[in-house]
Amino acid sequence: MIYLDNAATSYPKPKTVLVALQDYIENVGASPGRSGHQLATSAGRILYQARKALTRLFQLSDPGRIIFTENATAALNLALFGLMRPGDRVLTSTLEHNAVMRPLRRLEKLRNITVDILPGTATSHYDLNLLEQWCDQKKYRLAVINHGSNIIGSLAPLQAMLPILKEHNIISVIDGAQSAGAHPINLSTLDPDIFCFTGHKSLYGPPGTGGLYIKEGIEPEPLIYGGTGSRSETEYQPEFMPDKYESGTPNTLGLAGLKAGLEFIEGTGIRNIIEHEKGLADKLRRNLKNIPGITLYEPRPDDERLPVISFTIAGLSPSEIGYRLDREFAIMTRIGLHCAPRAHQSIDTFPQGTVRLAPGYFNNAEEIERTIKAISIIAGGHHG
Amino acid sequence: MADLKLMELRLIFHSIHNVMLAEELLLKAGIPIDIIPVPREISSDCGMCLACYLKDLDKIRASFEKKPFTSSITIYESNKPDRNFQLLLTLE
Repeated sequence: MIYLDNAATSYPKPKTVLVALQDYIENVGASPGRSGHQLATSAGRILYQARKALTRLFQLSDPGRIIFTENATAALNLALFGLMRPGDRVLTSTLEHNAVMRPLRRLEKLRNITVDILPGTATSHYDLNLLEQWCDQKKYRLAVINHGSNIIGSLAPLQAMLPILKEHNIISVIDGAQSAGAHPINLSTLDPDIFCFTGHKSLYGPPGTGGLYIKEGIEPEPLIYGGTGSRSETEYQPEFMPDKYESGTPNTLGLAGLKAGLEFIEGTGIRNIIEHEKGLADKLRRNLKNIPGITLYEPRPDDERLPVISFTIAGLSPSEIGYRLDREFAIMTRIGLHCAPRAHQSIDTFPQGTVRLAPGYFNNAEEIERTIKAISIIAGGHHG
Repeated sequence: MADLKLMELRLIFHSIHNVMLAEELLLKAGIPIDIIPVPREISSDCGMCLACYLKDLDKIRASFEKKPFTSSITIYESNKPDRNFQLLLTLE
């Protein structure tokens, strides 16, 4: 079996993640911050160390600015519903995931916001002059930008875009679901206001983990209110971090796994992980290009990219290709629109979508060779 | 070894996150601590607080200097022998 769907979720996880999950269930079990006993303290340490590991990964200084949520979608919802006020204007891109677009479309109805979409196809950069122009001409409350495209792996030029947003006092919200752990990210130098991440893709945690970094001074309204294990004498939500945004029993089990995943990245070296994945992705791209009937959807040649590859085969639907890869060759991919309909429109693959390959750290060159062969067979069998 | 009965100070942090940060800082500085349930006389918080020796107060404050606590720290001292806790000081 060859798993090439790491852009959906990473599989397998490092063995240490499994060990951490089991260790929590067997030896810790308790909820952090809810009781005064040793097991609760151990649970509290898990969350604290997970926050610290994220702080190190993103090169931040204060772990108290990291909030845990169940996934990147919940993090993005907190940012968007928490900050967009009635009548506000928001700037976004053509490459967004529905975790961004659906909240924005709802906010249009609920709070009468205006959504402006900056053109930029997945194969070319954003027009930074146009961005500057729009920011000059219109008053934006917030800009939400996808960092790494989940359909072709292109990376938004954040180093160039964020200063423009900052200059115009626009709150910046970055969707790092695909990029965290797969690309070096220094949030101290990039300095966005909010950076959303998921735990179960390139951070190697289990599903049910994720969160966001919230810069000091940015104060979204919490979406969820409740017990925090702090200030229990009052019925009012605490104003301090992280409790303000973390009501209810956290997914301590999952966060124990995420902590182990982050430690795995540190131990292995993120550069080594990136290099390995790049090698596999480059091999795939090079070889797929040569197969007759294949169209590859790529960033521009010199652009940095994530190991995410979309392709189509003339005369075959992505469903057929994906089905054959799965059943005949036991190769797992994701087909269709990948929850990013507008992104597919921007590369002209709407509505049928593409087949997406996303190799990960635990794939190897031999698996890539077998995948290339399998796709050749499928393409060859059909294409004259 | 830390002896809770002799530790006069209770440090209240309002969030388990800050308790963990404090634990890390004080252990690094070699200051003896214990993590215990918040005494009911002080607060109805569900969480934990730190117990420390009064003689370590200056070292504790030095360790906390400029560190990213997300809320204020309230320090109580117990007056032996009745063990009532009096507010000693608050660090913002």
